[in-house]
Amino acid sequence: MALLTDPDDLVDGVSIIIDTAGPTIELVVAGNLTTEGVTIKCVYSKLKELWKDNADYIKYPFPMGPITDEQFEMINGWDWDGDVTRYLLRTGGWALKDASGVSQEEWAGVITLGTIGADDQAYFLQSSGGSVVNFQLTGPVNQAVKVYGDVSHGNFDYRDYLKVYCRIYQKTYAFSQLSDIGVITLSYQAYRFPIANAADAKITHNDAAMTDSPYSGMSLIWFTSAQQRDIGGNNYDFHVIVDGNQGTAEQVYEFVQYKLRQATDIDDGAGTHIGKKTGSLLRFVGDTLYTLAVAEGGVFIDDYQDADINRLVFTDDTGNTRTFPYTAVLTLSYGDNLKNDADAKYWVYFTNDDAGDNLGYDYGTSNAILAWNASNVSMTGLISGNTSSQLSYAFDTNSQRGISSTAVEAPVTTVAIGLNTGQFVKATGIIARSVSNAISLVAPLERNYSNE
Amino acid sequence: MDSVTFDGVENLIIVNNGVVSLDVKADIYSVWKQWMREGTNTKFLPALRTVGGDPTTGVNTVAPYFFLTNGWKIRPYEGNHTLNISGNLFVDESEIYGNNIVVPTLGSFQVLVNLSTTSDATVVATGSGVTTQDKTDIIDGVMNKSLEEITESGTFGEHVKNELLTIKKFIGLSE
Repeated sequence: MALLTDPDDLVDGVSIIIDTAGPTIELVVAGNLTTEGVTIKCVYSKLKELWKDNADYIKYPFPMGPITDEQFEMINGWDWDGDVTRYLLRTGGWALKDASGVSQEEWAGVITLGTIGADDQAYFLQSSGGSVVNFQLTGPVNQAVKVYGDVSHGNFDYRDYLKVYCRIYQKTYAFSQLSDIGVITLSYQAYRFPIANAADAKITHNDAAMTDSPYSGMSLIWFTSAQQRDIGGNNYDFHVIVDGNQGTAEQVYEFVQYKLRQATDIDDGAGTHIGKKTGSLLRFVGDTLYTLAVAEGGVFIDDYQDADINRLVFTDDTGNTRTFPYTAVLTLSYGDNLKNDADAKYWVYFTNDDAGDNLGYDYGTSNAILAWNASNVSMTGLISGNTSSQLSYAFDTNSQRGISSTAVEAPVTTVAIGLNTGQFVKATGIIARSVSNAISLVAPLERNYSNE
Repeated sequence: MDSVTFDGVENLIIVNNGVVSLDVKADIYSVWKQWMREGTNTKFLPALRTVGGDPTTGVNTVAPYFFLTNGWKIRPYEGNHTLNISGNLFVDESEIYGNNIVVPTLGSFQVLVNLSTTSDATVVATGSGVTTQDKTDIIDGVMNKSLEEITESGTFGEHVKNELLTIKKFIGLSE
């Protein structure tokens, strides 16, 4: 049986019990009444019928006063029998009024709009320092929430704060708050929050994987002071830093989304941020990962993969989005003889400067130009047993070959040499406006090096 | 102290002053590899390449061959001397750069260059296998051998023995 709206479906003494001595009204899951509940309007209507038809009930003051069909008052000393009954009431709110018409309790009806899964557990938060509470049922929400109680009825006032969340593994996270529905102060009526989720294709690893690399090396820190990060030659302030530990954009997103489902402190810094009530930090739009502005400020990702730099959009403390100039990626792949050589090193030179100043600063000359990565660090280093290296290149702004060489494909000559197992090797290639530039360095096996 | 210095601008392997003997493998090729790893020396075209050195049977390897590439040459030090170069060293693209592995000194000096090459397989076992005790035993076996034990005609020992006896007779020390 679905949500009851017809008073005829409520049966006196079976699913609705009137206790004139209490005086209370009790709803019981019986007959046509299921856990799907009954609208408060339906209960009010049933009470009217009972008061009209029942010779005993009519002797007592009527329990409810309607304000609208979704807003009622419990009057004349009447109250609901208990929370079991209260949580069966749908599509409306009410206030418990004393003899002077002053609210002793106020309950707001919370209804979610949009589609969430039948098994999805939504929850709510009533104060920033409070704890999250699950709604009584999974799936779309239609439940009353107590938002006010006077000193003898809980002694709290949460009428100016309510956040509704739905965070489910492998689904997009849904969130709504009072400002989203244009409400400043809650009254005892029904409110409808836009909450909808859908399958999240970017989440492909389960929670158990979060203990493995690269997730295990990732972290989240909220800073009290602004953290400057250089984006395209300009410094911008951020207050939240995600350490991506060289994970892909998707892995960083998975890590953060996982953290936001935790009921524990997810701040790896000195502060405290409980995952389940912390606002979202990241969002994918297509394959582009956006960081979001949170209460503390902007969010930045450190130690991301160079290959992802062109699909990261950062929101800084000012709320503005920042992106790096296009950064190409050059992947160097090494053969075993270099990989196994502890002394093996690589260098990436521009083959020539023809596209720039054309001064003859070519590879093979003393003026050969060692290329810089996107952080203006020379592209050279130890191979250190790796099978490949990912090198960033500021395609739009690198002017090492001359100002006219910016945003122009760069011919490069890559060399590597080891000592004991890797001979000298050279390979040429092009750094194009792409993250898929690749050069293989396969050195012959060294048999004739001697260091005696 | 390395025996040579590399000049990437001039493509020269300059033999250091006083060095008259070079092993291509140890003194040129291996030192060049170390030099290449320093700074941005890799910006210069490579000076050498090598083939060979592959193991054959037991402790033997194919003799290594080295080639000067991209026009690199060896220049002896400035002085009259004979430079001995051991190892199979040739010039790559000799039709462009010529067959000579050596260029003249800057000054007027007479330098003879001996190049010792081999196509033989190389034995790469380290050490001779002769221990210190072996050497002691050999010395003892020679120095402590009694004259009576030297009986075989035509041996070096018999010759020394006979000469010593003749000298003793000559100076009247014995019969």
